[in-house]
Amino acid sequence: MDLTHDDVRLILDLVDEHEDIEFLELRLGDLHLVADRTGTGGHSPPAAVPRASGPGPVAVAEPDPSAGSAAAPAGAAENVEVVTAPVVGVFFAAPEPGAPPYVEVGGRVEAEDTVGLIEVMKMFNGVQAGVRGEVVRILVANEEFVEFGQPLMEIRPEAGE
Amino acid sequence: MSLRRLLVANRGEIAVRVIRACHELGIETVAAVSEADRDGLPARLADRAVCVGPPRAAHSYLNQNALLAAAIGTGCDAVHPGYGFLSENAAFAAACEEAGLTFVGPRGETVRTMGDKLAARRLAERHGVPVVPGGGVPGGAADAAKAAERLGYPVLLKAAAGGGGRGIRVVRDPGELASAFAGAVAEAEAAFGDGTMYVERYVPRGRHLEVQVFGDGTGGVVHLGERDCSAQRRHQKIIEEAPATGVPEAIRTGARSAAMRLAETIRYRQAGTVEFIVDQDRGEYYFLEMNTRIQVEHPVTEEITGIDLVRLQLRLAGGEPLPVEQRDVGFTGHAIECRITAERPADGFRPSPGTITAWRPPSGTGIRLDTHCEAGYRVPPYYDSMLAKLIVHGRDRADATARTRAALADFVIDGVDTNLAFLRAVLAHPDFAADQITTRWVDDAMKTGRLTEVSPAKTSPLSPRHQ
Repeated sequence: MDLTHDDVRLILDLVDEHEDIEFLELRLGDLHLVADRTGTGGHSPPAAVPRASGPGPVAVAEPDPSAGSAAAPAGAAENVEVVTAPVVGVFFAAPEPGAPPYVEVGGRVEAEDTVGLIEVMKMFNGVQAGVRGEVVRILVANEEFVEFGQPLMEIRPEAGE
Repeated sequence: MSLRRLLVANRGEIAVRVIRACHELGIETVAAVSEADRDGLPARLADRAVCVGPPRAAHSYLNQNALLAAAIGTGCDAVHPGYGFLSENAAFAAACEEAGLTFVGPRGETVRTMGDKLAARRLAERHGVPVVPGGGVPGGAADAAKAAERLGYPVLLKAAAGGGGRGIRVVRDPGELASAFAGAVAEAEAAFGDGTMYVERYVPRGRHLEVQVFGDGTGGVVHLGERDCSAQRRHQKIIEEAPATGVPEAIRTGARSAAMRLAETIRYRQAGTVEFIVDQDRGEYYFLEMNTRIQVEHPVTEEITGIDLVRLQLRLAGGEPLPVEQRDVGFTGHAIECRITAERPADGFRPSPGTITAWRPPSGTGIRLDTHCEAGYRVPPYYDSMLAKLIVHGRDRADATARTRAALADFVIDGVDTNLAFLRAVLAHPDFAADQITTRWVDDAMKTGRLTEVSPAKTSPLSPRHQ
């Protein structure tokens, strides 16, 4: 069976509402969904990866909402928001190998758009843009190891509609 | 195969200690640091530092997946857990091994067995190691009351998952039992997620004796002598010594062979400490628990044996056989360690984080300082308040005591409150000089006002350089 994006969101919302659920692992056929509140920074909503068919992960994760502006490094250009890594792990620019990357320089993103994934011990955490705007610089390579708080990309904010 | 690159999954002085030992052995180091420790000494000393999470330990130093990802992502082949944090977490030990990383510690199953204090007690009992009269109370408070009647008051309630002085209550009479039991259960559940309790006869005049062992994982075990850690405040060690000169030789010998027997039985791997309480009135010793990690107070053993315990851990982890035979282990002189903390003794030992504005440690023959602090260091509020361990080695106990007093008198720390004056007061007390410290001594002395803090000017007749 296939879960839709909305189904996954519903499951995540249920997990999120129940503080006592720390970890959920769901296997339905070849779909594999993991929601974990213990290992990914705690204060963020659970991250999840529904693994449909194919080798690569598909992110429907809710990243740390504070990650976008938490640690803008000194010297970063003005009027640019720095997206930082919400967890330590391996950065993936695309949802699966061979697929086009989530974002490219010059591309436009909405605040809630996923701009990459970070894998922590087989758990994939989505990284959210955090701000609506234009991607002006990508600071890490695909499959690069990144630290917690490491700048990943810069986004020039644009006013919402 | 020797270790090539090791992740230090800890902070503070023990991270510094492990990094230095690694570098002496040619092992590269990666310091896992929280956001609060990015500029700390471990981060600067290590070959590389990796930020694993925000300041709060639950999100960084206790975040197993982040630490494993950091170890794998930086190409480490081993993890040293230090003490505290994940050092006695069986799941983490097992997860490291599953990820192909050598965990510098015992097997996960050993950590699990010894982490259950009640199970460890039963294991000791089965192998002829004396335990304090008492046992489990599966029926809760009612069982505890029955056990207490049988043992005689006062009794000690203890959490099976316990450690660090939490989940422990002294009960003096039957009227106190129900509320003490409920309080201890609640505390244990909050701290360890497990409220299982057991009851022991309370040893009023006890000394804390512990035996350092090393195992090769196949049943080969050596001991590196004992330590006396009786100077405790609310079950937390303050001053540790080696050897345990205040305990009769027959008891020390008995405790050593009991510790060896226990470690051999479980084919113990790596550094471990078997703790005992010595009943001064009855002249007996009883097993308390086994700690499956390097301990804070390991340096006093190093000073009197000349054996570097952390290096020994690393060599064993690299696959070498036990490099020390029992007949090679000798003991020279006496060593005393003082834990220097950023706390206000006058204010219930409340932690005192802040920036260290002046840091002038003592120096001289036989004086060692294990620390991550320096002038300008900001003591973060997120972790325990230990700043340094002052370790002093002397010819004998009297010499070591005199040198420790002089060294404490010379130590200047400004910017944060410390327990230096409190430590000076303990060292200056006639009971300390007479080797008469029991596990209750500090608490009693504070209650009765026998301990008055000593300012450096009052106790500075000698500097260690002049002795």
